[in-house]
Amino acid sequence: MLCGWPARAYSDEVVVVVNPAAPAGEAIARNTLSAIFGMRLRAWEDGTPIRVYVLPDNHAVHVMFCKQILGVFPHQYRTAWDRLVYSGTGQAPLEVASEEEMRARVAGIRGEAAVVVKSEEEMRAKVAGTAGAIGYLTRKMINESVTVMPVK
Amino acid sequence: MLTSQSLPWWWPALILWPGLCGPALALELFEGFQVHGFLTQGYFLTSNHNNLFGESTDGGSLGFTEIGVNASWLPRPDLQLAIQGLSRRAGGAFEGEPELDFALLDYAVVASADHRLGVRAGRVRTPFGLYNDTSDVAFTRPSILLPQSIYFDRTRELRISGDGILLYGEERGSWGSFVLEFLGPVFPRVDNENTELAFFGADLPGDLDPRVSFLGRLIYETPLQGLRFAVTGGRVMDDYNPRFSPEEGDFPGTDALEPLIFSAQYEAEHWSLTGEYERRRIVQEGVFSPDFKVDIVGESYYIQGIYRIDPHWEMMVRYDVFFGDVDDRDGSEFEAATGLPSHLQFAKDWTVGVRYNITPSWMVRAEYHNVYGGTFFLFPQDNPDVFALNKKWDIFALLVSYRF
Repeated sequence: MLCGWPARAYSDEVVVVVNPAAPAGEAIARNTLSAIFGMRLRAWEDGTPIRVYVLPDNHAVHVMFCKQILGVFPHQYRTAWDRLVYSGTGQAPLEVASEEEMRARVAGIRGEAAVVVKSEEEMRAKVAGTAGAIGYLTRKMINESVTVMPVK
Repeated sequence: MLTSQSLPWWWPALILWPGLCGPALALELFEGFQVHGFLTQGYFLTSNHNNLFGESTDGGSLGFTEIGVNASWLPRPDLQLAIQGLSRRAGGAFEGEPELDFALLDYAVVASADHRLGVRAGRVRTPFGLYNDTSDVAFTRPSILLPQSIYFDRTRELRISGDGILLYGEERGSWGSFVLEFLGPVFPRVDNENTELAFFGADLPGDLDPRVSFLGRLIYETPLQGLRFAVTGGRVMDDYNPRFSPEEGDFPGTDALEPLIFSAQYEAEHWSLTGEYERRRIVQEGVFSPDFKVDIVGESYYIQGIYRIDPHWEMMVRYDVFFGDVDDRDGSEFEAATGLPSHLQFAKDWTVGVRYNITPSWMVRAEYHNVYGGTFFLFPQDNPDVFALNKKWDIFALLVSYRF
């Protein structure tokens, strides 16, 4: 396989996770999730900016998240994100080169609105360490550093 | 209009170059400020002396390059500023001059999961059909050439973006979602040679000046995931201001273009089916003589199927038809009235194409068009002698594109 198309199989369930301090309430509506990952909703109800973390388009966990939780195909999200970026009407999750580069660039500031992470481990670390963050993980990756959000 | 005589047409490549060597990266220079771009090179080979994007009949033409760079800044969750510069080289009609594609401020007055209400102001992308919003980005197009019946390049400036105010509203619920965009008042980009050639068949001595116009689009996403419908309609107007006096045969005049488009699309996991139908009324008065008047209705439609074999491979087939005048579908009345070839008035195009995604940021494509009748979407700049054109012709095209 060429780079960028991981093809691992996951049998685990995917759940939505947020930063433990995120003002996300007890559960999250599917419509809200769809608006957040569609980059149309950029702030929690109290005004805190939402930080969105996603895995690459063809990552098996991203595919599962799109299909099982949001009920869309990953390429439909890609189409929607491309439309935002190339028509000047929004921003899409950003790919960054490396952990070090990201740390260097966000030093002293609050962090990006949306980022493409490389692995579930990185996803968990980002969501745990970023105020207002939301992402998704397979259940086996869950620990006390992130809060699982039931989907209404 | 952003223009610069001192820069070469490939100036954005200087900015893009660092990205070509490394991984696909958009740049975030500081928080909420992103830079993205794309670079596309095409090869066109055509038959029967019909030139497309340069001299494409003899050995083909590499005269098709699209380079774009955009920057967006989100200083607050409800506010975005965005700008995109573009350089497009496509035969004699587009010579790569840097142009300002959009430059806008977007303010979301209301933003919740179910409702959104906002305004965009500046130079904004025209809400027009399914493919106009990002029509210069090869990655977002269904094919190398967009269906030319509706997205014809000959009036590209007019279609692509305008200067004005756009109001948008979104309403989402269990019944699906509505997205309404209303662009108006807007000043269309008519002060250019391509618009004059499309309206008048010639670059006249005077200039076109925009008049206050409007355009609206309503998209309905049904509860059945992937099924959406859209309707676009409006009225785009300009004035022709003559340079010479009526005694010298140069008369004032007006053009009005009233498009009405119905769009439907169903996207499944591995395939999609898309169709659009347009009725287009054109009213022209004056220009050639004080009592000259044209009031015609044109018709366009296409149906297109795409099959995604896997994340790399995609195949496309499309049938695409354009008629300049529904009362003169074979162009015979046009030929009798003007002495010009009837096939300038229509185009019927079967297209098959294949796309290969090398990585998420590199893509190559190949495409074959059998234009089994009609030369409507050819450019006068590439084909100065319309009598040398042939009614039936073919296009073979290759394209490579990079984005970040």
